[in-house]
Amino acid sequence: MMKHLSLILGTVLILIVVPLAIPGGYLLFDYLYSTGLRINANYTGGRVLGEITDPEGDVLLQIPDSFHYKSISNSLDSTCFSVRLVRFPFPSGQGIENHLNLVAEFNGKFSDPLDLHNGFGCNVIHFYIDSPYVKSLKTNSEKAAAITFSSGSWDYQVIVDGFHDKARIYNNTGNLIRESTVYVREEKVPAPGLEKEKWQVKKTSVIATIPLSFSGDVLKGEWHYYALTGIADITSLSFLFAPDKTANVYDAINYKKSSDAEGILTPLVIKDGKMQ
Amino acid sequence: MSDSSLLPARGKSIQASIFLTIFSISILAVFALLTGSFADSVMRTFEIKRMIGAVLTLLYLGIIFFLILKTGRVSKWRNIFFISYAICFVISFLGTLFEQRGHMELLDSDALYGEAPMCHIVVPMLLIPMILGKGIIFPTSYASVPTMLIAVIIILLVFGRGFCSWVCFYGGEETLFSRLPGKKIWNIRKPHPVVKAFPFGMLFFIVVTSFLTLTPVYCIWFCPFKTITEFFEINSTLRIFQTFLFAMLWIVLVVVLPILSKKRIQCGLFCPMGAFFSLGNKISPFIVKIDTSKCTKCLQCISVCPTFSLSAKTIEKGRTEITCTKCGDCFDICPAGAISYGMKGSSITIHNHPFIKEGRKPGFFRRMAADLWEPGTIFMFGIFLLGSVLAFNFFNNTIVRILRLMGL
Repeated sequence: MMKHLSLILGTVLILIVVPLAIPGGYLLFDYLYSTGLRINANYTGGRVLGEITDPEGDVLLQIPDSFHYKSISNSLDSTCFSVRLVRFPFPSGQGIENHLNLVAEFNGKFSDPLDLHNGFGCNVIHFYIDSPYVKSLKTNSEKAAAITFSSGSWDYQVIVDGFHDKARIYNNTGNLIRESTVYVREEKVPAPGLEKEKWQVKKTSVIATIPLSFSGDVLKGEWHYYALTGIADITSLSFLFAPDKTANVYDAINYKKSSDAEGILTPLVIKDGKMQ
Repeated sequence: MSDSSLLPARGKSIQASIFLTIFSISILAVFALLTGSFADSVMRTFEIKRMIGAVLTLLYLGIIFFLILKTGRVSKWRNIFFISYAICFVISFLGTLFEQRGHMELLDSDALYGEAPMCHIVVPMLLIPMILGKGIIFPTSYASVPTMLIAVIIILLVFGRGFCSWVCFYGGEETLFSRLPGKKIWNIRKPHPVVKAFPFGMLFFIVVTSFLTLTPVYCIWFCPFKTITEFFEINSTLRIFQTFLFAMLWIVLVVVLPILSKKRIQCGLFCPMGAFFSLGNKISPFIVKIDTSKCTKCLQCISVCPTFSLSAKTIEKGRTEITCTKCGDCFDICPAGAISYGMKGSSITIHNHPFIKEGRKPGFFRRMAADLWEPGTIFMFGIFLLGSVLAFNFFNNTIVRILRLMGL
């Protein structure tokens, strides 16, 4: 009997245990996810330095009346703006620079009628950075349209649109000074009523990276960050539609509140690495 | 007890070979229809080229498996499967990459987005950061991690290092280059023990450094197979150096040295995943047995072993070393037929089977039962099926591409 035992065991292993690998993967998925295991934060967005949320939607955003824009409201109404720090342990040899992530989040999937590389073709996102290291010229760029910055200035303008693979960084005199990596992340969840393989996009994040070798140490001094979303217009320098003081096609979640909006954009302030 | 002279020296009976081939191909067809990209494409659209590809793939795999069983020439037919599998993997992988991205580079944005395809070699590097830090240190999609984890764990426990000669889609490249016609220029019979232990040192090194740096060190610095799959975008001096390093490793370890030595140098003396699966050989019930009473000590098996897993000392003990990939190359070369698959704790082999009565020629069903229920058949059935499940989409994808090229 003993000489048969290992043979019986081997047969059971092959015929029963091995085929369990596939359903076992699904079971393990649920278990691992429930334990909080995630893809390393270094890849998925970094440490949050500060964020502002607006999950209820922004009353200031008035999509133009044309039916063309009705279907893309999700793509314009940002629900969260965050600033995250990504640092790879030294010496990792990773090859990806330590950087700051400027993250604008939106509900659902982006509208992408032109099927562009980054997956969005209707909207454009501007990030503005007021750095303590730069002696600001205290000018509002015409590119920022009707928006007034509460701090009165910005030093870097980061433009992300579906027509370019990279984020473009301008200084406040309008010169393109650098390009950086941009990526669009879709967070998917199982669609109700469908089998597990069918997923739907719950959230879309647009992430522009600013290398720390370019920006300087973001954990020192007072930094101001702004995020602005508008309709893409490739005929405009800023890629923002209607740079003619028509602010209502823009969405910026860090407006103070609807009553005192009046085109004043308040920043996400981070001083010495802490949100103010 | 059986009388081995009543059985053919090699190979299973025709009835057992046909039964097992049909059984395994049927299971493979069900797997293909239920999971993977073929299933997805069938669900979405019914494409005739994919159906032709699927039928040809099943036919090809069925013929290969039948020939392995019937002829008993495990090495010859397994190598044909293994090499064609590796070629189809490269064609399929690169074809898909070029269709989707237009190049082989993994852009920084793809890495940050978590779009890098995960392979089995990543698993040892993931384990400690996963357990201690609840973080997955490889930029891949979350869904692929549990599937890969469970597959590697089951393979490790059940087949041990058998994976490296039957399932690994990289191993066939080296086998191809080591089997190219030509004289063996560099005869390595017995590498220095330190050289043989190098993969274990490499495994330890990458596990520790991956934990300390929270990055997949092997993938970033050492993986030779990035040369024919995908690699990080070359946008800095560091990346130029890394690209040079892995390209040189591929050229030297996978191409040049295998051609010169007729051995799988990368698998035998470098690959940390091979070392990881070698640890599984301690647990796996399936082993390669050497019948010392039959062995004539000709030592031809040592010269053909592609991963340096045999020595005079281990042959005397009737077993292989821990690094054995269960490829079967030594079965074919052994003039005495002394080497076969066996199972730990059991003396049963095809030459020594309780179903075969001494002095009596076995009948149709008794012979079939003995052929089906012996360690070698069970091992080959399991591991070939596993390899086929993984290889199916690569074969199918390649056939579809060839059909498209032919304008069909």
